[in-house]
Amino acid sequence: MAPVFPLRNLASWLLSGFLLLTVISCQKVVTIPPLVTLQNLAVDQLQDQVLTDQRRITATDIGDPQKRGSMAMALEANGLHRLAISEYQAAQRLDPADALWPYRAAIARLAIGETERAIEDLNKVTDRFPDFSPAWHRLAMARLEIADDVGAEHAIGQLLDLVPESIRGRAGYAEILLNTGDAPGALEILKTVTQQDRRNEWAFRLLGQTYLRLGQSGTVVEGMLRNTLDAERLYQQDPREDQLTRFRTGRDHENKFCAKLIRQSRFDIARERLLRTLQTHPEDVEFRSLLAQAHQGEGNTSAALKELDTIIRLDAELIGAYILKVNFSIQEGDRLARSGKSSTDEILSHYQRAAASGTAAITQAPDNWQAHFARARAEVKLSNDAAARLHLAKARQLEPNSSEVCLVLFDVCLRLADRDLAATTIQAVTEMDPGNLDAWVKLGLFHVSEGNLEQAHKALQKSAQINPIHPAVQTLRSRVSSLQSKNKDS
Amino acid sequence: MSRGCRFACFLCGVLLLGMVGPFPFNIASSQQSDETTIDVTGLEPLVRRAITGGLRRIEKNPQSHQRHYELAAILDAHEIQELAITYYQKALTLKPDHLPSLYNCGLNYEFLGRNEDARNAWDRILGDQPDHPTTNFRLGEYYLRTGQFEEALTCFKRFGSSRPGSAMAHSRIGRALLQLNRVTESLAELQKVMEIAPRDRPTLITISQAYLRTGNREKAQEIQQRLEEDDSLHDSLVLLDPLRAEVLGRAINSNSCIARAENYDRQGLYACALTEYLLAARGRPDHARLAQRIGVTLVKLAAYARAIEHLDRAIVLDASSADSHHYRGLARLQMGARESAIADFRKSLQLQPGHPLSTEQLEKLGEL
Repeated sequence: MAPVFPLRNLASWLLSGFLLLTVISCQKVVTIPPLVTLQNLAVDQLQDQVLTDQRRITATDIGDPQKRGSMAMALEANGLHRLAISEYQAAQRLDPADALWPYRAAIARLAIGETERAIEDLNKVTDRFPDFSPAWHRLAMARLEIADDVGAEHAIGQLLDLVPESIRGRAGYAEILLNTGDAPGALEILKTVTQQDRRNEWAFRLLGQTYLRLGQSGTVVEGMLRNTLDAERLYQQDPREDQLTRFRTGRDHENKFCAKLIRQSRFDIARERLLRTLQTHPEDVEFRSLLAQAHQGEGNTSAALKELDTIIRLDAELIGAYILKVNFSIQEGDRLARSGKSSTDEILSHYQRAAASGTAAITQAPDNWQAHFARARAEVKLSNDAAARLHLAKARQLEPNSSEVCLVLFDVCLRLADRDLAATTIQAVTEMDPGNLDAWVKLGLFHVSEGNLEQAHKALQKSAQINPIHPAVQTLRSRVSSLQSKNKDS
Repeated sequence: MSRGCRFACFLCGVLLLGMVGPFPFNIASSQQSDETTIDVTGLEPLVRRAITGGLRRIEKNPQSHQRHYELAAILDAHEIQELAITYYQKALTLKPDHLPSLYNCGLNYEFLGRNEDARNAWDRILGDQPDHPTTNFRLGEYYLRTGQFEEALTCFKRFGSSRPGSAMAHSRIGRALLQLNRVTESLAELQKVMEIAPRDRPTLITISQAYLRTGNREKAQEIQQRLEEDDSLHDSLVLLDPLRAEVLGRAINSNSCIARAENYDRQGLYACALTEYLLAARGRPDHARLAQRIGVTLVKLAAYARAIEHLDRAIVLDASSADSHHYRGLARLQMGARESAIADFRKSLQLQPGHPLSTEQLEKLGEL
């Protein structure tokens, strides 16, 4: 029996060796796909810089799937979807166990309109990586786009099973409900979602649309839809997808993005971004104008005015810069007046600066109504009503359809006791803009002051039709009642 | 467990499944039969999706009155009234006092000429809430149509007491009073309407009839002449009816969306108008005028880049539209593209000589 053991041992060693060799010989050798070349691309200077930098980083190790994936994202973020797809495929070949790469390739396909193929690819991703929630979200919305509502409901259900608290996922569910006729269901979700995430513009946009479906409109819904006009759908994301935002650039993008940041009062972020952008576009007056607004938003009026002076040096005919100078100087004067800590002279000096900027604007463009309007506003602040009236009349002559000009002119005329011009001006506003509550209230109060009860009552009715509970309407109502009782008494 | 025993268990299991299995299946198939009875052919895709979505939600939650009501409301909004009534009734079976179903079901009966059924629905509401404003209004209208003027007047007065200062209430009270030959009172009510809505054509017609009854032919004739000559007169009274508005907002066929968009546009609610136009365009993607209206609305919202995209599309679909060129010119001008803006204004003038807005723009730009 003794010699049998070594023999059996030897046989098993030989067999193991044979199997090992077979496995090694059968294992696929992954050839590293070549890195994308960046030649003759339709990109601007800012985009070119981002792409070149990212390529340089990727070139240090083209066998690293994360680097290849990042390169793909840089391409995708700047609209080069086909090149992005080939880089995502390279990343996938290097690491087939990572769901992110085939998923992003599918999204790039969606962006270039290859919807069917993209949905096919997303189906494969969700089959192979059922716990990868971002793919379910994209799949749901892609199915919704092609009117596969049942498929969309299924996919969003899968997403919400994985991440029940996902705000973006729930907003997606609400969007599906809205598209399939369940506005009340969508409303319930969106009310919560918008409470939880006040910055989710897409959810607010959907909320506005939902209110419309439920027959509710008016100024609040209008404001909601207006403020979210440029909102884009937000998706459940893998943390690595944040890179896309970082890579996205280009003149147009920066311009829109910074303007949006300013609208959202995120002035500090806008300022930093604009300063960086101006390094490559130092003479771009639009960027400088945004930077001025960012400075002003942060309360740094002197920096804002300095920036506007630079713009005027670059392009003396840019009227917008003068008008911004007027606005900022008036705002600064108002701020000081509100604070109660500054002398009258100091406050007036800002208004005088505003008037000087208005004059400069008129010198550059004598037929520009906005220039005259700006100067007039500065004159109003300086209590020069007569001069203001002159410029407002000119502005109105150049732009007869501006309610804004007429409303200021009306106030100025009242102060100057020019009641005839006041009456025709405010009447004109109610005719060209019948939904202007302010105009109806002013007209009503004017008639009250004239003792014309019938006309005052009409104006009250009109304003009450627009918004019966508005404080200005309540004021007018009480003034009309007083006049009515006064008339009865007499 | 022996192999034979395991087989017996398996067999029992199969038999048990066979017994209980068909039950839920039958429920599903009976619900599917709902779907087959709704003929969605010929409807716009968005409407079809809303209806089939409603059916799916009922299938998931067959005991929910709300789900039945919602489907009924979608059908009602798209004037599929017989079926709307069926689903309103299903909602009422599950929740007999569901006011929105009762009210809108009544209205659908009325649309189909089933006046008695409509009246029963109104009566059921007023049994619980005698002062319910819009139901009193609807019932008043019913009485007015059927010549029961005293009853109509009572209903309209109830409606009016819950809506003080409502032109609609004064108008209907005035009409009922006129029918009751209480002409002086009628005129007083109708004058109140004219104070609030001076351009309301139907009220002017009623006033003219009232003057005729008083024998004041001159005054009646004067109004008749105004009715003939004044183009600004229109049907301006609107009934504020939240229960109905909640249904009508669900109409997502392109015509309804366009009508709502035009209404919002008139009120200066441009973002609301845009939302409706965009929804309408989903039903009619190749409609040039719709693409143009979207573009124009975007110009009003100062979204010039997007406006240009839509106006480009409008021009591709209909190159002969002067307005599309004009508004694209405006958008381009705002974007700082002066030369191409001028080219657009010129094209607009070429297509429609004397186009006032393009002429004005070219004059402002010193190009004319």
